[in-house]
Amino acid sequence: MNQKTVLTIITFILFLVILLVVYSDFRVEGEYPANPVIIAVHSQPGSGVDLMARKVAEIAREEFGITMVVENHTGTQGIVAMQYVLNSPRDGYTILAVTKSFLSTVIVNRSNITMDDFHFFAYMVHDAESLIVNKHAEINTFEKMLTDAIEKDGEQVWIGPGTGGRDHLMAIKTWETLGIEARWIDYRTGPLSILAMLRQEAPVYVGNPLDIKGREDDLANAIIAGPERLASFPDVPTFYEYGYDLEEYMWRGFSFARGVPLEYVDFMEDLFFKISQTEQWQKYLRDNYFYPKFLGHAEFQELVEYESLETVELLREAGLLEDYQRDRYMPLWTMILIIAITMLAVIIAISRITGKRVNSVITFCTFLIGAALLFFFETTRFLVPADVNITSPALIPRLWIFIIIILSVLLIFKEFKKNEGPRPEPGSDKIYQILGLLLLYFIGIVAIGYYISTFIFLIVAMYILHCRDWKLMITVSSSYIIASFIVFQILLSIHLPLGIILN
Amino acid sequence: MFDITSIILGFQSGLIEIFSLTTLLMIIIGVIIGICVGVLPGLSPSIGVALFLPLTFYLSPTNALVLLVSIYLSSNYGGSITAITINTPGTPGAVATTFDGYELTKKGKPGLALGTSIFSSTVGGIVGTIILILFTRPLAAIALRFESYEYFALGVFGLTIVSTLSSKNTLKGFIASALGLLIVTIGFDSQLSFSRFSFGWSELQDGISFIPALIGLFALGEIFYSIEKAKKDKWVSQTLSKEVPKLKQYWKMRKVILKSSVIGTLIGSIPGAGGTIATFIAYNEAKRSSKHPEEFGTGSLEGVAAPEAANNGSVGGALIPLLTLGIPGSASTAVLLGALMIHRITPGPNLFQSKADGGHPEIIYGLFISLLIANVFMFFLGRFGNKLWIRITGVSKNIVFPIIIALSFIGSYFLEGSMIDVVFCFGFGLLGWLLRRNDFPTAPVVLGLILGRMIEENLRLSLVRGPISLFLGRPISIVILILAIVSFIWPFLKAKKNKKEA
Repeated sequence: MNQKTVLTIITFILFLVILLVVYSDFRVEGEYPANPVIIAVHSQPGSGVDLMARKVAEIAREEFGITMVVENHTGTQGIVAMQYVLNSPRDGYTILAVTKSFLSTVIVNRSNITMDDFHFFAYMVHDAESLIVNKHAEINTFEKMLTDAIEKDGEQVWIGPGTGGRDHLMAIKTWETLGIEARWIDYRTGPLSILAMLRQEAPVYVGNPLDIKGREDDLANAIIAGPERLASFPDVPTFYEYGYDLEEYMWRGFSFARGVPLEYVDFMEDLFFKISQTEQWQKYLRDNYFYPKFLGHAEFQELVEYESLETVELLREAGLLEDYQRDRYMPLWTMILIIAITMLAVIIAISRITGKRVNSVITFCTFLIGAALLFFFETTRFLVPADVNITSPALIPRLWIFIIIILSVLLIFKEFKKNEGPRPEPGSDKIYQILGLLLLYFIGIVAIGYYISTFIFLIVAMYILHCRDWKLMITVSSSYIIASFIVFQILLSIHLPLGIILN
Repeated sequence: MFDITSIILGFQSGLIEIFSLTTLLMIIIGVIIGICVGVLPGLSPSIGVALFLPLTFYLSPTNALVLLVSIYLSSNYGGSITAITINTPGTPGAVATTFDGYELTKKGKPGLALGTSIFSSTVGGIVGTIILILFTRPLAAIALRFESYEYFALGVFGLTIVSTLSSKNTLKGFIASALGLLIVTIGFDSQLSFSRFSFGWSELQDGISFIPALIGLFALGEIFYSIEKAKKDKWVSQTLSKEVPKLKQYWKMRKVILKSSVIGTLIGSIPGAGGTIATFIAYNEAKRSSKHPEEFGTGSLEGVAAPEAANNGSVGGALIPLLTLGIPGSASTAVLLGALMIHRITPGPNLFQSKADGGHPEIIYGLFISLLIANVFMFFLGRFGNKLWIRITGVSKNIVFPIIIALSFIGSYFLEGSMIDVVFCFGFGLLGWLLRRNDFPTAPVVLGLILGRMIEENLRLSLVRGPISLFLGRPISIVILILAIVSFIWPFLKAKKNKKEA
């Protein structure tokens, strides 16, 4: 056997070993939790929720000998993480780190997920909302803010991240309680809102006490919506002190998907209660200006049910619960068909009149105009809710749509005017074979998983592209699988799909 | 302008802090990881930093930050390797590097592009760090003056590079950029959480993920086009020149590299603007001021040097708002902010104060010195690695193409562990192919995807804040808008002048 054959055999055997490893279940049997518990977090590493989850994991490991691994599943304001937990086996090994913002997320996103899909078993963080002002601005206390709001009669600007988010809802609740009106301007994220406050773009920012950390020379908490003054800010009053019955906070905690055995829920509730009583956890709360509070399964679940209803009420008051999209004038596929036929007819007509050939550029431009028209019809469905301070969501897309249509029409005329050259040489039909193979590869990943389908795809693709050295093809494909297993599965702990059939 | 005494004192404490074998090891490991992160399509600097953040929990704050910042810095360079060799920008910041870098590879000279890339990345990184050390506070003050009006103007300025990118066929370039701008409006509206253009498809609610789109447009689009155009006898390995730039060539590019480094640092220091925009603006400026603008887009070394210097210059810039204001200016610095918080370091003006006043000058200056060292390591590792990349580039296309396709799919998948991103990648691959075969430039689509959100969000925010006339009272935004107009019409005027002369 020559060197090349040996290499081919070795890499192929390694490929088979990898298949054996990924499709084997190495879970340890024993008393719960015998295996590491995953905590799914919806935000990126270093965010508030992520730091909480990592603190819990650290204490669980150091003080209780239980391994917990934090995984970040970001996207769609938490929907991706919720979906991940709901799709995981209900074996008590996947926990979702939850936050109060999920209550509005599932409603505003019109998601199929509801809070009833989860067992909320540990309320760990009670983070009061606060109104933040710039120390160097004219309006730098709660009293001045209130007087200014009354004087401006609805024109005072309050800023924060997200329309319909918790901070916006806090603003609405505060206006109601104080009997004032103001304008909400959405600065998209917390850091951008803080930046705007540093620039004194607005007098009030709805945030949390922690937001001023590191910026104490410029920003200050004017008032805190907590039950009592925080030890870290003894000079900052609460709403209660001014006679207003207002307490609003952001909570964070943990939940299981419904369907997880109740004894596991009880186990975790007990474990998390013990964690909340440790000195490490108490220090974490103090460092972050949180109030000490723990709620177990029954109380937390009850609170979530109550606050879900309250959230719906507040969103309705803000005018954010209506559907902002009118019904389509006609079904989507009918619309696509009509646009396609119309575009085709116009092009054929022009071609007949001018006697020129329809080339590939003209066809492509026609397709672009059709797509742009479809987008335009979609913008006619957008509604701007009353009493919400925003510009029309259709404004900018329409600008780009008009530009695409006008320029594409110009290009079509330019192409028609151009002298016709010889017909372009037809391309290689290999491209269509590769595209077909890609489609099969995609289906293969879903059905039989990444490892097997990628191995087959690589060999077939190389064959289509005129490679006939079988040893090389097998060596390259096996090596690619080995490399991707080491990099993604081992080093980066990214689980590649194993396929519906084989998993 | 800057307090030299506190800088010297800071350097002293920083040197003591990082003077250990462990820190040096962290820098080397960080640089190697960073280059690998940059090379892998789909792994952007921010994802790379996020992936390795959990590993730093058990390190000292200094070592943790040094490791992460080294990854951040070198992944910005690493992205250029695949941009040059296989027309697949490993990171968004390497898109502009494909314009001339891949052209040089097609001419059989990837060594020239790779050599220019590592040299200008290093210079950019060092210039960015020096500016970070000397001008942190004044630059932070400038960053604070940027409001929605200025961000909008900056976005428009970035967009004007379309006229440079599509000088061969302006109409097609404009259509392509408008297409990118329209595609990026798919998904949640910035002011109201409802999904635009999802057509009832829940997977579109969150919009189009940028990385799969980028991989599809460049990597898959190029491969599909090459397969369609290739003749049967073309499927053999390519003989490539191992030539790297000579010192004389680097010296010739000194002005463009330094200017681009400064552009990168300045734009990188503006929160939310980011290094990618800086690369486009630097490329545009390099072409405008070049003695041979006609070579841009056909394999100009200056065309590689400018975006690479700007991209790595932006690393130092991006650290300015992070360290002084606690505001992350980019996705990568958002993760770095998380790292600071995990290690109980609160960024802000107090961070630079003495230890007695609650600051951490030893960590901050230690970080600055490490950045300088990381640049040097990156240069040598990059030079060493280039030989390997040239060899890989020469491998037969019928082996390389299937592997790139498989890599593109995995690169799109693991972002959110979702097959839908793989579908997007494939869809954008088809779009890239259609654009290429109809002679539309692909880069303007990406430009639209990058700048669209920034332009829309800030224009709408400005309109919500008051009448459009408010723009007139903002000198910075007016200056940027004037620059944008000049930059937009410049290539046309120059082309007209050249035509007249001819």
